[in-house]
Amino acid sequence: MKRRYLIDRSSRGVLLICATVSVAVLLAIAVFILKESWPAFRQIGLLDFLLGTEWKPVPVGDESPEYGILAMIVGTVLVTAGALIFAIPLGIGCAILLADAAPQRIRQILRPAVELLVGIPSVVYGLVGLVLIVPVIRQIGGPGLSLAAGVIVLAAMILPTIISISEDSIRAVPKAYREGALALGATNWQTTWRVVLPAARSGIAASIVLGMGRAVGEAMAMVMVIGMATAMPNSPLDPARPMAPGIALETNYASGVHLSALFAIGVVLFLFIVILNSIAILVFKRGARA
Amino acid sequence: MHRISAKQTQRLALAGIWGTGIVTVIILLVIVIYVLVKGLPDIGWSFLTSPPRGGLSGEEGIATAQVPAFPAT
Repeated sequence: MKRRYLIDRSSRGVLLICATVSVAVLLAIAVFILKESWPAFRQIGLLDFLLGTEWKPVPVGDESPEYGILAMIVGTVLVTAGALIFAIPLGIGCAILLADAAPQRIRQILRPAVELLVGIPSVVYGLVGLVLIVPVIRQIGGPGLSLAAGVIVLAAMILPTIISISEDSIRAVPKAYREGALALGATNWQTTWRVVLPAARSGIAASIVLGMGRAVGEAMAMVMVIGMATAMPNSPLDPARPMAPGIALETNYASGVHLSALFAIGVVLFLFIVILNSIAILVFKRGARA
Repeated sequence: MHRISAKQTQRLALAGIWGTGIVTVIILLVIVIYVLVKGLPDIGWSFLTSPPRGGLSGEEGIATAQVPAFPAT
């Protein structure tokens, strides 16, 4: 009796310590990033930093350094939106196919293949994109390393995530819903479109949010295919520089205000993801109420 | 205008879904097959066990790159 009590108390203590440590680590990271970015925000000024279009952290000659990240913000928005435009219809279509329409045998082959692809490191996607996609885009026009290449590589990268989580949530819809709709005389497709998909909405939303998070934070594959030019992109064939690869490219040699500015980009990126996630959650909650 | 019947919608939708599935499979197959075809022929004992020859020559192996990689994983 006594022993059980002791085990109970001590395991509760251990769990409490685990929880405290993980929260403390997260807090410490957040505080550290804010602290490191503070000099940049103070010296550059919030508006100049967010709305400046020139990024020249290492000036040539006697120019003064410029730290404006508007082009990077635009780059992140464009490349993420582009990737989602391709990946969402493909991913959800494929998820419906796997969950509802495909014969058992095709499912048994495809499902593990998709799960395998979730685990492919992003460098590999970048490498394949660099060797296969970039030359094709160069034929169309521009330098090849471009927003378009970034969009295609990112879409391929987040596709498996969207498929596997959407499929799980579609499959988790209770069988009774489907049977009820079919019994009322709905066709298979009406059942899927009007009953199953709305019921699986929150899971599908989660898959999109996860894919979006991966797209916004992707650095390696983007460094390899998107061209990393600091100028504002004017067409899909122009190179761009989203925020995450922008940080990755320069941390090696940055120091002083430059390093601090990179941390400030990190803060912006973090806020960006928080805002995107809240919007996604809000939109889907409202949809569920209607 | 002639309304599309439920059956026709279903046929269209199924075609669309199979289309997305096929596109996805093609994308994924291209990635995997491309990496395997380009990469597998170069992997052998000498590639895994010898150090790179230095510089950007791209010759010899990856032995020294694995040492930092293994403890990290």
